[in-house]
Amino acid sequence: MTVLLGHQRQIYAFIATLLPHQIELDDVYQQTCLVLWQKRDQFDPSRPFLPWAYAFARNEVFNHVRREGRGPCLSNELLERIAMAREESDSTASARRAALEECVKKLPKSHRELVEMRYASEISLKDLAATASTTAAALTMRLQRVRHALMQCVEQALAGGGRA
Amino acid sequence: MSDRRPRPERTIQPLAAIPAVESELFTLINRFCDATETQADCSRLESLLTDPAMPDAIDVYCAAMEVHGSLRWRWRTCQAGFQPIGQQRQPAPSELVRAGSAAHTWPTKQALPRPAIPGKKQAASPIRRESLTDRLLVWFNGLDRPVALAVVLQSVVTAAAIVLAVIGQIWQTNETAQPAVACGSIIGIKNAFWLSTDQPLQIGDPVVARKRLELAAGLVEIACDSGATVVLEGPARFEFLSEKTASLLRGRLTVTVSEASPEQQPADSVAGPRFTIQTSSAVVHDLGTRFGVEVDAVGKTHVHVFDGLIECVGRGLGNAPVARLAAGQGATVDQRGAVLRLAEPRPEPFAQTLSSVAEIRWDESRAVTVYRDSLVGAEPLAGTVSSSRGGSGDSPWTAPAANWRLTNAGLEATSPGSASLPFVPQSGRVYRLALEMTVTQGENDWAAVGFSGPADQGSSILDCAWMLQRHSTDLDPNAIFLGSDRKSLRYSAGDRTTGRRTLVIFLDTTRPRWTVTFEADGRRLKTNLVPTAARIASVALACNGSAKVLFSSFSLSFMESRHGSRN
Repeated sequence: MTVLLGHQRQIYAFIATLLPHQIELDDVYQQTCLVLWQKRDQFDPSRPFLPWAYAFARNEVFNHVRREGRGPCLSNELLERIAMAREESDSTASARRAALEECVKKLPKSHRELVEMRYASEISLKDLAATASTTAAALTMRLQRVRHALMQCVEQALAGGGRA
Repeated sequence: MSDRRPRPERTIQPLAAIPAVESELFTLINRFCDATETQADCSRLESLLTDPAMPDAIDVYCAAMEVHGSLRWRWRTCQAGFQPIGQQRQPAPSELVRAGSAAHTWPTKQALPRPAIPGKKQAASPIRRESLTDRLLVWFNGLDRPVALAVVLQSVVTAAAIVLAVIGQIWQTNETAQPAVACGSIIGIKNAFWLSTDQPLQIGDPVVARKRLELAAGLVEIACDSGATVVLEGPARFEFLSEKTASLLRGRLTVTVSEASPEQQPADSVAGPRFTIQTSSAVVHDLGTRFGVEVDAVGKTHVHVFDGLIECVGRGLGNAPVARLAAGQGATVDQRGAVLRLAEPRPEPFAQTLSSVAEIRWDESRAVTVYRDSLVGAEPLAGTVSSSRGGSGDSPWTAPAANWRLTNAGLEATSPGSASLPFVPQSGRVYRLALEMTVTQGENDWAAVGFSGPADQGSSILDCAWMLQRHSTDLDPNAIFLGSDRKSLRYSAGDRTTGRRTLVIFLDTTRPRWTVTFEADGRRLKTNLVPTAARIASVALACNGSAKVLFSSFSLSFMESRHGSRN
C-alpha cells in the first residue's frame, strides 16, 4: 500500500494524458487504484512499481472507453502510442512537475485564480462560463493562454537546469 | 496495434519547441482538456498527432497533458501545494472544532466558524468574504468579451447555484491555515479501501468539512454531528460542506436522519430540511427520515426515499424543477437538472445500515482492575465497598437504601433506581465494564448497566453509554437495546434472548471520538460514539418500572492503549 500511496500522483497524471476529461479521469483513477490494491500480491518489489502500475492504468482506460460505448476522441492505436511516449518520458515528468509548482506560484493573481476555479471544481467549463457571463470558447482561450504560459515557464526551467 | 518502436533513454530535456499559443495543435489539445472538443476536433487532433511532419506533436501533447493533470491533481486532492496524499497534513485533534448548528446550502461565515488559532494571526471572516468577492470581480473584469444585458440577467438567474459552488470550491482551496471543522465521525467500516488518506480511517476518527473522502471500495458509516447518519458505498467521492450539508461527487449513499427529541426540535422546524446532499445536478433536502442518493458515471443523480419525505431540486438552467418524494418513491435528475419521477423506483442498490463493531483486542492478563465485586453478601448494597467482599475498589456504592440487597446469589434489586460507583475515564485507554444479570420479573421493563453521569440513585436512567435487558419480548421483539444516550443513538441488537445474560461494554478512549462497543454473552453487537456532551462520572446498574433483577459478577478494568487499541 505504501508504494501505491507514494505514486498516486504519477498514476493520476498518466491517466490524465489518456483521459483528460475530469469526471472520467477521476473515475478511472479510482478504479485503477482499486485494481492495484487488489493485485498488490502480484507486484514484485524487486522491480520498479510505476511501469507495473501504468499497465493496469492503461487497461482501465481502455476498459472505460469500451464500457462507455462511445467513440473515443482519439483512436486506441494513438492512445497506445501516447501511453508509451508518456511512460518513456516518465523520468522527465517529475522534473516537469517540480518546475510546474514553481511556475504556478509565479502566475499573475488573476491567472492563478482562473486556473484554481477551473481545476478546483467539478463544474463544466460551460457552466463556469455562464457564471462569468462569458462563453465557453472565451474561457477556453483564457485557459489556453495560462496553460501555454505554464508550459513555457516549465521548459525554460528545464533548459536552465531546474531554475523556474 | 501500437507502434512499439524503442526510444532512446531520455534525460531531462526541454521540448524542442512549444507551438504558438494559438496554433491549431495547442488549441485542439486545450479543447480536449476542457471537454469542449467536437468530433471534428478529435479527428483533426488525431491527424496532427500522427503526422510524420510533426514528430514532436506527441511530446507536446504529453507535456500539455502533464500540466493539465498536475493542475487537476493539485486542486482535487490538496488544499495547498503539490503535496502527495501521503504528505497531506492531518488535523490534530486539538484543531478539530465543531461547526455551528445552522443549516446552509453552501459554506458561509455562519456555518463555518473560524475559531482563532493560538499564536496565529487570522483574518476575520468579513474580510475573507470581501476577498472572495473581489477575486470573482477581478476575474470577471478580466474577461475579454463584452456581454449583453440579457445574457447577464439570464446567467445571473440560472447560474446562481454554480456561483455558490465555485465560491465553495475557492473557499476550499484557501483553508490551509484554518482548523478543520469536524462534521461527524466514522462509526462503521466494512471492507473499506481509502484513496484519500494516508492512514485508513477507523471507527471513532473524525470526518472534517471540505476534506474529500475518496472511497474506492467498501462501506463506511458516518455519524454526523447534526444527528444524521450517512452510509457511503465505494466507489465514491464525498465531502462535508458543513454539519448539515454534504456533497456527493460520485457513488452512492444512504442518509438516515434521527427523529429529533422535542427539546432539540424547535416548534416551527417541521418544514425545514435537516440534512442536504448536493450533487452536480441536484440538491436533495431531507424533510423526513431516510433516503438514498446515487451519482452515476455520466453525472445523473438517482434518488430513492425509504421513509419520510424529501425535496429534490434540479440544478439546471432556468427555473429549477422541484419534486417532493415520499416513501417508496424515486427520481432521476439528469445532467441538465431535469427531474424525472421513476415509475418503478429501485431501492435495492442502497446499503441502508451498517452495523459495525470496532475491533477490540482485550487481553485479560494485562488488564488493570478498577472495581471487582461479586455482589454476594447479606446486607443492603448502599454504602458498602467491594474490597470488603474480597473484591477490588474502596469507593462505597451509592444505591437505594431499600430493596437493593445483597444475597448469596447476588444483588437483588426489586425497586426502580440505580446503584453506582464513581468513575472518570482517562484518554488513551480501553475500559471493560462487565456484569451478569437476570431480569426475573417485569414484562417489558428492564435492567441496565453502563457509564453515566454523577450518581443519582433515584433515577433508573443511565445517560452516557448503556445497554439494557428486558424481562420478556412480549411487547417488544428485541430483548436488548444499546445506546449512547437516552435521547438518541438507540440501537436494537435484534436479540430475543432473555434469562441470565453476561453484558459487557468496552469504552475506547484511544481515538479522538470515544466509542463504546457492546457485547452480550461473548458476542460483539455494535459500536457507537459516545456523545461529545457526555460527562461520564460513574459506572452504574439500574432497573426500572416493575422489573426485579439479580445482578452479579460486576467488574471494571482497563488496558493502556498499546495493549487495547485496534488495528
